Amino acid sequence: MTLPEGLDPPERLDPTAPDHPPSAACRAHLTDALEHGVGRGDHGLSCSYCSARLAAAERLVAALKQPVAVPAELSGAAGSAAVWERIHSQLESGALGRLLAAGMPVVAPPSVAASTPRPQLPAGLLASATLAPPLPSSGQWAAVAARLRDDRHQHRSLVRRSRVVGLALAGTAAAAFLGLFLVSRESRDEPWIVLVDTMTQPGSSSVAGEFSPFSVVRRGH
Amino acid sequence: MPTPHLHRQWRAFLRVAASLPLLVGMLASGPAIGQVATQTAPKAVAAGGGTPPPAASTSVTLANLAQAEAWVPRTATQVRRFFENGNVVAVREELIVAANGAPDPEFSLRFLAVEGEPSGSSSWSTWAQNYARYAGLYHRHGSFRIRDLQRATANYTLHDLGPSQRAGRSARRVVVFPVRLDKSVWLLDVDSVTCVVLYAAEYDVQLRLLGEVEALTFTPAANVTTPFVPVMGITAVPSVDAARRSMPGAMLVEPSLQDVAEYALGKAQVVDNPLNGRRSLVLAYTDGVDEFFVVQSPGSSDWFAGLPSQSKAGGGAPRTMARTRDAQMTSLLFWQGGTGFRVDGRGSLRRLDDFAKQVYRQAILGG
Repeated sequence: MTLPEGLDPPERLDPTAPDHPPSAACRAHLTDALEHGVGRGDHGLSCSYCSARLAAAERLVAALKQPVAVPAELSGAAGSAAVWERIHSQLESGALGRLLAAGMPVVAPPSVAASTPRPQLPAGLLASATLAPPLPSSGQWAAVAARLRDDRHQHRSLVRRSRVVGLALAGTAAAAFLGLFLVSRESRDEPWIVLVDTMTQPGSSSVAGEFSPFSVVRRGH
Repeated sequence: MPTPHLHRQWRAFLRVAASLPLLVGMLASGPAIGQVATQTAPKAVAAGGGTPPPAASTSVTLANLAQAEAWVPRTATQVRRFFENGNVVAVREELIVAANGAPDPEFSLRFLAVEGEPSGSSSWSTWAQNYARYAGLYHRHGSFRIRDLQRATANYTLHDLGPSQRAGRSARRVVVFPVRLDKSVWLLDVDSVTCVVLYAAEYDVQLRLLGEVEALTFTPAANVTTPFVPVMGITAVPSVDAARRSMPGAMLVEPSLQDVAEYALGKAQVVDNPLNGRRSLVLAYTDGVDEFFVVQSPGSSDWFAGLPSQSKAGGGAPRTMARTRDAQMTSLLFWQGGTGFRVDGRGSLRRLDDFAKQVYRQAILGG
């Protein structure tokens, strides 16, 4: 893999850069300069490490702003297929391909002819089974027609009889329903009277001043 | 296999049948069964001394009793005993009847005293007022009387128990026994000469004393100086239809007597009650001796209006009939269509329940 044109590996950005670890002032200066664009004081002028890093950052930013050109081999579907095919061939020829070939052997399906059992029917029966049935004679057809006519006649008489029975049943049900309706209506009209026993004997003056001659006779008032 | 219900009926019948000889024996043995039963009745001793008068030649029959009631004028001092809740009130009274063959002759019934109470006491005043108001009812309906000879002959039998004495007169002791056992049994002392009833005691079939009227003095003559005038305005009507005409707009029912077939309408009266200003139709039904009453009071308020069952007016909702029953009387009250109904009769006459229900049905269905 190669870097884009004009971009060198980081270790080769500034061969003159001192190989000493950055100090806390270097980190603070680089943070402010890279994130906010403003350095801290004159540290950038005096520190070679920070100036090298800042110069590399400027170059990297300029390089990243340029769009990366896609190779012509990868822009089409054929190119991708060729790449995938090459990767597949490399895997098959590699150790992984050999391992998979050993663990998952390709088994061919049995042939259809070999799986079909041989016919077990006797030869005579097989011949008769394959023969077309003989057509019925005219007499047989006449018998079938007569049978159909009889069945139709019986069906009609059965339908007629069932209609009569149905009418009779419907009439009976209607009469029963009417009777039940009348009986229930009569019983509904019959008043339902409940006798309630009271403890006190209502006298002539105790029940709204109603006059009771028998109470007068019995009790005197 | 007889049902338990039939068993009960048979046992009741056998009990009553077994009690009859006992009843007849008791009535025949004592001088006054009422004295034994109440223990408060004064001793009825012949005023003429120890020698009893000779037995009368006139036999006592139901017809003779009816005839004497209608034709014999009489003056009597008698004691009437009222029974209520186990208490007995004995009231002394004077009865004068100017009988002349008329169905309802002139009479007077005057309050004399309450036995055991001092003159002027509250009880004395109360009973004096009761007699001023109800003397007519006491006299006409308060004791034994043949009200319909034909029905009495069909529904009662008379048994002569022998001679007796009452109010200083020779008498015959008889028992008037009902054909049906849900009515009262009457023990009578009948004047041997006039066939007037001098003593009447009413028992139920269980030999409980229900009422008593006992003559202390008796004279077969009458001079009614102050005939009884009822406080209430009473107008006799021949039928319920006539009552409807005299009470226009009132919902009145002519009761069906299918449950009490041996009874018939004896009296129909329109009564103006001065207490509430209301007019009532009073129907008195009799089997010849016994009576029950149907009172119909148009314009009454619904006595059962507050009951939950009455709030669901219309079909299917129960109708309430109040019943009060003891040995003395049965009262059945109901209300329909602005009219209050009251059926009153003797306590033993349980058929009144079905009779009253029938009247209620008639009222619901519009008479």
